Amino acid sequence: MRLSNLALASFLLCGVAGTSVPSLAQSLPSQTLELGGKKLVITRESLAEELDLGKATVAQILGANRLLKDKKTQHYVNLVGRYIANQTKRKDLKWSFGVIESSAVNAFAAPGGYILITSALLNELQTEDELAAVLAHEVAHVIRKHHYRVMRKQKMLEFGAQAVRVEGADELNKLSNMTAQVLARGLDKKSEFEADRDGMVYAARAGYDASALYAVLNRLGSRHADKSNELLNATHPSFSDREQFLIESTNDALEAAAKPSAAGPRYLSTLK
Amino acid sequence: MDNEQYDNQFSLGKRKRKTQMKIWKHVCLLAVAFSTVALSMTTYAQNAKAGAKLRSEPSASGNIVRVLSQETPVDLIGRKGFWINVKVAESKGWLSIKELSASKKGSTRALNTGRQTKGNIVATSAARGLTAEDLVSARPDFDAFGQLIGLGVSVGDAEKFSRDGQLTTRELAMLSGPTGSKAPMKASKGVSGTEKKVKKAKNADGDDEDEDEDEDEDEDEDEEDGDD
Repeated sequence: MRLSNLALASFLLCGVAGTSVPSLAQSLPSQTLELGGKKLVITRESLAEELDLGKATVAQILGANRLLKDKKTQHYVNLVGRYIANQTKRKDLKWSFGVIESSAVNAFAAPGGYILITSALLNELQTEDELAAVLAHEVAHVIRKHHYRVMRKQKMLEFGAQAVRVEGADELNKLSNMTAQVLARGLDKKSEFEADRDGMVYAARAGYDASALYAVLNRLGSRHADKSNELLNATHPSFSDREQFLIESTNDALEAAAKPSAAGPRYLSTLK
Repeated sequence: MDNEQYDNQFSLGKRKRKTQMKIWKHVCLLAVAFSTVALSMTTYAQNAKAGAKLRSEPSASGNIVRVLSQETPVDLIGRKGFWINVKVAESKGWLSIKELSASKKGSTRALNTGRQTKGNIVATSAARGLTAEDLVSARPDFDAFGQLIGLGVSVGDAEKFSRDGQLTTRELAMLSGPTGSKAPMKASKGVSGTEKKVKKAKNADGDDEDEDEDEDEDEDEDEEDGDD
């Protein structure tokens, strides 16, 4: 019900901003639509809003699983992640990467360039190429603003005409809880395939093994489904579909880049 | 994987008498031997597509050993990048993963059955889980957000790190093509890394260098597609 409203709203938004009044989006900071008695504030995408939503998302995840207290590991993951982010068009963001203590195998991209990876997922990886591949998938979500775009629409629905920027402790908590709903529901499959494909390219641009994500998906796909991968499985296409999609996406240049990098062994030598 | 199981059984036997221990040891060795044989005979089998080119090297420039005229069962031996080492009847060689018939279980999953060096890379004592419920019911921790920000490193630090690791950047185009919301579809593969094409594909894929202004608003329409 809500979502059909949301779809309608986004359709209307495109109609208004895209065709009939092209300059409206530039001239007004926001616009209010009435939808079935509900007021909907349409705002333009902004970096400030993206960062707010990113903060809300991170706070929510860190409320469930805390940051790993291991400076060396955190620093290493940040170096790999930042280097991947340097290969993208959004290198100007203040990228931060964090390992969270969790028995769940998963990783998260929060709007604005905040990436979290669970310790259980780190334990599944074997090389720096694989770590780079996983982080690159998350970085790709941020570049394409996948979560931001879903979250901002949900925010417009839940916060209605009240505020473009959410303020006050209660409201911020509410915003954080909203981001959790989005994470728990997951993105559409198209976005996940896009992140796999873009991430594969970012990692390969950085000099890592272009087939490392394939290897990780392959390995995770041979695990038994249990509590530890429940959320990951529920929010992503099947591993075999993702593997197949990656294979079909590759071209000659990526195939030639599918070799273990010299930095691969640094993963185990740094973390062990 | 199997080894682990048998190791556990073995350690149970260890507590018992020595004779029992010996028996266990033999049972173990036999079982492991049989399971390995069984795996290579059944799980590793896959079909290669008709027209697949078996090559001498894991590369498109490797000599063609044989062209398979029809869909043919092959035994998977190993993987290098996107190439699979296979055995077909009497010949051995390399096939591009694309030339294996798509399988529901993942084309090369069987190659992963070997014991992995996993676990305990990062020590996490009594880490909590993270299900959808855990996530939704959590109380946000805004202080911890500040800690995360403090972990970020500079562009320069990351570049130095890459040099220390002998990583060299590659000029590669973003890939474009459909990303169907159902089963994966055939994606475009016309891009071969040349500079002209790099530019073109970047634009096609929304990875253009223009900053955020006027981001493709029509894309918003698709955004809710699979968001059931």
